[in-house]
Amino acid sequence: MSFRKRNIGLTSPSPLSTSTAQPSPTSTPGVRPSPLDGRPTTSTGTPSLDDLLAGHAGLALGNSLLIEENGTTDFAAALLRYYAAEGVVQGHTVLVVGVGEGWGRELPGLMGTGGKGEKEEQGGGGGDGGEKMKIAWRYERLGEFGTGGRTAGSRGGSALVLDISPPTPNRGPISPVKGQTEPTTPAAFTHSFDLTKRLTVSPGSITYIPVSPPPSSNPFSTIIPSLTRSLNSTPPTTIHRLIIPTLLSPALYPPHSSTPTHLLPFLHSLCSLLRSHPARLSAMLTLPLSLHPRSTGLVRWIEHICDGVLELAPFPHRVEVEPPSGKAGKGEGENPQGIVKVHKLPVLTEKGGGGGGGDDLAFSLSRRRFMVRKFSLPPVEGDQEAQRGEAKVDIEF
Amino acid sequence: MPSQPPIPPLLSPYLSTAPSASLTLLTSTLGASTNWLVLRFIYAGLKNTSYEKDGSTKEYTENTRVVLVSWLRDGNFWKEGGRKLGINFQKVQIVYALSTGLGLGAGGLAEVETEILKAVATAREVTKENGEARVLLVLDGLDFLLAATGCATLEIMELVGAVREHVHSTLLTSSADLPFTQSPTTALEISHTAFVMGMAHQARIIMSVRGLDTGVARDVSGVLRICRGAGAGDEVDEGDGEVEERECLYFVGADGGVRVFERGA
Repeated sequence: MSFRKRNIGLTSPSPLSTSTAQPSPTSTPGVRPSPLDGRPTTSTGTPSLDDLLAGHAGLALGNSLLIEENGTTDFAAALLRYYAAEGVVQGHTVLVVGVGEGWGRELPGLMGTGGKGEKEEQGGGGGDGGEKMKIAWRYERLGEFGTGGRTAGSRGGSALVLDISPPTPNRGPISPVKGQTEPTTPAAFTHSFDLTKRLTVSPGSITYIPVSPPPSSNPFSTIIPSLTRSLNSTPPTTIHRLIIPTLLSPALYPPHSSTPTHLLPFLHSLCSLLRSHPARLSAMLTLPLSLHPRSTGLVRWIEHICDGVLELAPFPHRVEVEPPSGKAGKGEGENPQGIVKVHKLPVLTEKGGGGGGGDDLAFSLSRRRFMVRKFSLPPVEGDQEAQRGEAKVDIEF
Repeated sequence: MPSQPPIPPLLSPYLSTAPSASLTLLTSTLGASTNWLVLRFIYAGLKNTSYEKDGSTKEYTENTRVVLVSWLRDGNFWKEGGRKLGINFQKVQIVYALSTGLGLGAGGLAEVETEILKAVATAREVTKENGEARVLLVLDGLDFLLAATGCATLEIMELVGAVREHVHSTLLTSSADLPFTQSPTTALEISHTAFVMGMAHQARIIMSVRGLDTGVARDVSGVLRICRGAGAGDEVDEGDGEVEERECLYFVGADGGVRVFERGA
């Protein structure tokens, strides 16, 4: 049996999986069926993160995503804010745990609301285009969904076109016809956000759930009841997003929060709530690893309970100022700022499939986007052909 | 993957109906779950089919029922995966330990035991008219209860012992990641290690899944290691045969089909 052959296994999804009736997700803004098995998914607000999630092209509702981060940086906060902003824009109910209203005032604004902005965004030139190509290419790599290569290819093409113009809603619901050629613009699935702008959040669209301070009680005891109340008091089409920033951080949580008997039952009931609302609720949590390393049993349990686990490992901060990049058209944030490790993926891992795809992934955060892409080391010394573009000096042997 | 047989041929000798009063331990790690294996155990158990080493099958006449207690997965997940395999869920009594938070509330472990025994009795009730009742009990994620309630390891092990007395055979899943067992220091890690070790000593077979040691591959989901547990010793006289130890690779396809194969195959 050759090594290659096993790959053929990625056949079209079985009709059985789609038959698990979900309330037609297309009618709800910001929700679309997964191209893999039709389960409703919602966007994390970060397109390249959506693409990571095991071919579902979004976060499957009823699932949670845990973003862990090493070191003292807080790149994960950007992901949370995109996720929250996407929810606000889509009219979802956004619930944030443990932080004050100031958090909600710092959500990134929508990209390019005017024509000028659009022009500016497109001015990237060749370099920008190359980047888009990568997005399209990434789609191709996800060719596991749908009916194989052809569909994946055409979808890649549509992403290519749509992604270039940030103000237009990119990547609408998947339809057999290319989205942008349809006369009626489909509702946007995901939006582009600009970190330098601020989203105007109407009061009341974000609910803040405090962590209860009394030292004797379970600090998480208020969260599940608030969430349940919100789910029960809204119509069954209202999508909820639960956001838990920097779980167990001493800045927000009392010391006894990290007691397993407080934390684990809470996460368990959250998991239960997510599963009982498979078309209405999703959650994203971040966990700073510096105080609670992955080598501890408690963190491993947190990871076991969450459906998807990603780890951000930022590169050590460089003190010297970056020399202006020689390449024309290379936008800001081109250099990778850290590694993304995929430990567990929603739906896929639960079924028994392995972790993330085999590629090394890196992330970069710029004003315009949080980008996860394939990571490769710079050319090795001596690889002259590859080095020619970067280094001016040739090394002689 | 052109549709795979529900039971991968390499696994069939291990999935065939376990001897009476035996315990099978499945251990998982973060990226490699045992859910697919649990479903296949249920399938094989309900089929009443014994898979012989030479690939032939032998039908049993007994009626088997399954009691599935799952702390980390909901009923929909099991039903969806099971339907694809063709499991008849009328023969599976599911105790919804995730949605009810069984054992986490005031009831504690006593409540868990009551609920399990109630489900076992219900499952028995159905089979009584059709002859001998055989119940396969599946305890999925009991180790979570240990971590989340902070109860003593001994209490959990007593619970397992108590419910095992009432069923034909028991299947127990537990996580066995390195952080739990490598150098146990916190109370959670110590009791987890004690629990997994204790169960391994009682088990007839231990099946462990883990990620590929050499990194992620697109056509391999993980490694499955099958060991004889310490509880296997006394059964040799009964003619069940030795448990053949082996390590193989597996791949779970997008459609849920599973292939199990030798390294290098």
